[in-house]
Amino acid sequence: MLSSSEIRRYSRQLMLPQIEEEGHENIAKSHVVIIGLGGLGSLAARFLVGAGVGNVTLVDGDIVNISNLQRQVTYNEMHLGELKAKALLNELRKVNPSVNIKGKCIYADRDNLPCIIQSAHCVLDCTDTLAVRKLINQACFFAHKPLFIAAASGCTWQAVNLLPNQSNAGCYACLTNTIEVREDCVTQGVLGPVVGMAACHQATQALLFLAKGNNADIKWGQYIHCDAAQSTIRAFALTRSIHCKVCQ
Amino acid sequence: MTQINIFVNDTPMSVISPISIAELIALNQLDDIGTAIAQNHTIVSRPDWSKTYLNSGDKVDVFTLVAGG
Repeated sequence: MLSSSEIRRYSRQLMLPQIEEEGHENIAKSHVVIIGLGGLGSLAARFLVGAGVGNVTLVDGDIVNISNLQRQVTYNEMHLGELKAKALLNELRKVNPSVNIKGKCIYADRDNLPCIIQSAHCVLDCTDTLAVRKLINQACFFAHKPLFIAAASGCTWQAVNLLPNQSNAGCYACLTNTIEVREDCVTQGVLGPVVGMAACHQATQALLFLAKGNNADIKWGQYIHCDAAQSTIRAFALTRSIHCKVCQ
Repeated sequence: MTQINIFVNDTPMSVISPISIAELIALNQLDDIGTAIAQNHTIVSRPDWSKTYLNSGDKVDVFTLVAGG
């Protein structure tokens, strides 16, 4: 049963049939792990904390740099040189003190990932290198954790929701194991709002899942490709590859 | 060999059948590094490009993967 102050705080999302009171209570009991606190993770975290996700773990070993401020809207000049996990944690506590937020000032790797995601109801991959993304995919697959992936570069953003062992749906490795990805924000640049769009999509999908669990209408294995410059969105089925070394 | 009409990123194209996805990539001189391909809205794994053949009316989407965040 929600208190009157909770009803006031969350009134706009409680109205939604995808959330309602039961869905919000599920959100409030959830634990989300956000890996990578740049343009994707810092904004997705802001929305999840604002929406009242009960427990949020922020993971990143990086510090706030002046070149981040163009798109990483949760940080400002006061945070320059500060560890992102610490800076973001302090900002988000001001947004919603009822959320249990933990910061881990470390980079995710093969060794620490199983521990980091162990108690998560879902994981957000907000990192920026293919190598780490593959490790997160693998860790989530073997730990049976729902994984919400987003990425951006230039004026393009892409996203996919993955649920391990979901019928014919593939995993991130099905797509990337034999592909070299050249594009990233450092070499290709990125427009601030484009990475923000990706983060908003990622946070939306996570909230809908947390609210209704397996009853949520999540398009698992649907790969979204958005060209913001052309105002086009395309969606593709990411099916299981027989060549995949992770999910086969 | 017959000519078939396909759509590549919504642009109509006539090609000689049989033609595989790998051959389409080579024909169009596309950079295959970082490229993902979907045939009729389903992503085709890269190892399957050379044995996946296109049919008349097929919609082929070619896009570049991004990983930045």
